[in-house]
Amino acid sequence: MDFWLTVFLSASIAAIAAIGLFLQIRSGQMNVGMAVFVGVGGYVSGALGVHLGLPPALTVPVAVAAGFLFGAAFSALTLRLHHWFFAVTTLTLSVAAVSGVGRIGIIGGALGLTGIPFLTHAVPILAALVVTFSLAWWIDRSTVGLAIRATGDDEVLAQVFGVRVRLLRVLVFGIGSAMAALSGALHAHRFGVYQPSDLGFHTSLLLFVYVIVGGKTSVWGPLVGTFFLHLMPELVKISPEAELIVFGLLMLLVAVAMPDGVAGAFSKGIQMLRGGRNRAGEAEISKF
Amino acid sequence: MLLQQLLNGVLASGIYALFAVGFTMIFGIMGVLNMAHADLAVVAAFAIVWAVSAGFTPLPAVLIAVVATLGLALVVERLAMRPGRRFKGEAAIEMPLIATIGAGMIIQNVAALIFGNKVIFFPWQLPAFINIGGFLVSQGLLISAGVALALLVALEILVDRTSFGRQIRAVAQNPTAAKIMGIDTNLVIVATVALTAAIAGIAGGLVGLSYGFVAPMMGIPYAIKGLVAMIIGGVGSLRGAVLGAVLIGLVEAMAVTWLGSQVKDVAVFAVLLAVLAVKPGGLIATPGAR
Repeated sequence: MDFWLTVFLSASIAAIAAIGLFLQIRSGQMNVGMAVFVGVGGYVSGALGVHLGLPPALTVPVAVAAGFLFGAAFSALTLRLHHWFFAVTTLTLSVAAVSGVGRIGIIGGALGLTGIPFLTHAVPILAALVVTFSLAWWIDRSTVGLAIRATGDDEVLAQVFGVRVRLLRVLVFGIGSAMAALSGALHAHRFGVYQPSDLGFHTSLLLFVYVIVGGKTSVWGPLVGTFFLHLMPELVKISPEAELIVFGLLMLLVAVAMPDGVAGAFSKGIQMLRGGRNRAGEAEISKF
Repeated sequence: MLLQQLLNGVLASGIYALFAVGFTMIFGIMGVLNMAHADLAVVAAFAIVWAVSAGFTPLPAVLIAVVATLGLALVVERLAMRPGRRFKGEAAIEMPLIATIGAGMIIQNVAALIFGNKVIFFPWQLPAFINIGGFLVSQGLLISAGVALALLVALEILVDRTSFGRQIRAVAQNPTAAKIMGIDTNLVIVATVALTAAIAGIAGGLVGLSYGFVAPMMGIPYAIKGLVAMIIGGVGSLRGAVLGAVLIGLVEAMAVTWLGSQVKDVAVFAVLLAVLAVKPGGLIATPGAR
């Protein structure tokens, strides 16, 4: 039982960052270096706790604010980059951050920041997930969400229809990064350590996989994806390498055959069960 | 000391340039990035490791590596890149990005599963340093840079002067018009993928030869350097990619000399940001590039 609670909480913390990444991807910003934005939260909250002795209740909000500012600043600096260029820039950032952070002594250098005050209770973590999900759900459903989708689909067209694309990109990336920072801060307080390698390519890639495999067309996608990909390897018990091979196969499958991801396939399945007869009827009509 | 490091940087950039031209050729002809491209180098290197340990002599070992690398590249093209051409707009860009990231994960981890997720010694090594005019030069890197230079010149001639090169450029400019003119665009694309895979495979062998070891995850740093070199050089331009690679080699060498070896990656990122801030199209802008 304890084991499954651990897995469940790990998935919850990762899902918070995945939801933030979902919003960013939705606005057309393919962030393949999300671990860095997660790390901002972990290091800010952790360092404040270690050096000033402040409790997590105070440092986590500061970390979230820092995450927003860092994300918005990064997005503002890279507004001119699209698609591949943005993806490659974030990827390079993620790799550079590992060695860069390792040089900063005040946050523990290459060995990582240790002695971070603990916050291991399940309630704040679940509350953070619920708040993040609700916020993302609300944003996605609002007219702002429509504007985000329009920007992600076709930036020029969105601009023609009066969407303030640049402002929107910066804000959405900031909000996504704030969510990432929340996730990182919770992670830091849960384990008491934060290491430079947490910012690296591997963590970034996994978050990207959670969103894509879960589905990037609905807020349920990152949630379903993260929990599915956390629970599946524990149920099947395979080596980490085999696990990543399966993740890679899922990425291929989603890219080629099911662009709405696991969550999309699931909701389609429910629709088919509910409206199976209607569909058959439609097919009948279309014959004539 | 600095001159010595800069020399090493230029020599190391030969391998980066081989990756960069592969990325840029595929991007030029299809408008997509093959995120599994650098992992083809892993395939080639490990095919050689396996073949030699299985008792093959060098020539068959290289043949095995060539067959494995080209075969896998064609599978990746067929499964992860070609389906993207069905889509339009954003989906046409996203689909291959996601699919080739997936393909790369599969290649890396299958290699890790078979050979272990660790550094493995390459059977052929040239670790010795030779003294040229007072500079110590790694024999392997010198040969790598020489091979890279020869390959790049051959590639430039192939793309610029031959009829196959003309077909590549036609498909890169406008696939529909190329098709109307009677060019088999699919064949040209497949041939280009095979060509870049061969270059990546050679680069993988050169990495093993120069540094003495290979690893399942070694494609990732080379992918990043190749991609950054392509972008700062100007996407779609072969000379730009080479220029970008040399720039990265030099910047890395300077960062190592002045700031220590851990700062290498940070310096590469800083150069990327700086170039994108000043010239978003890269140092050599190509009007035809997508």
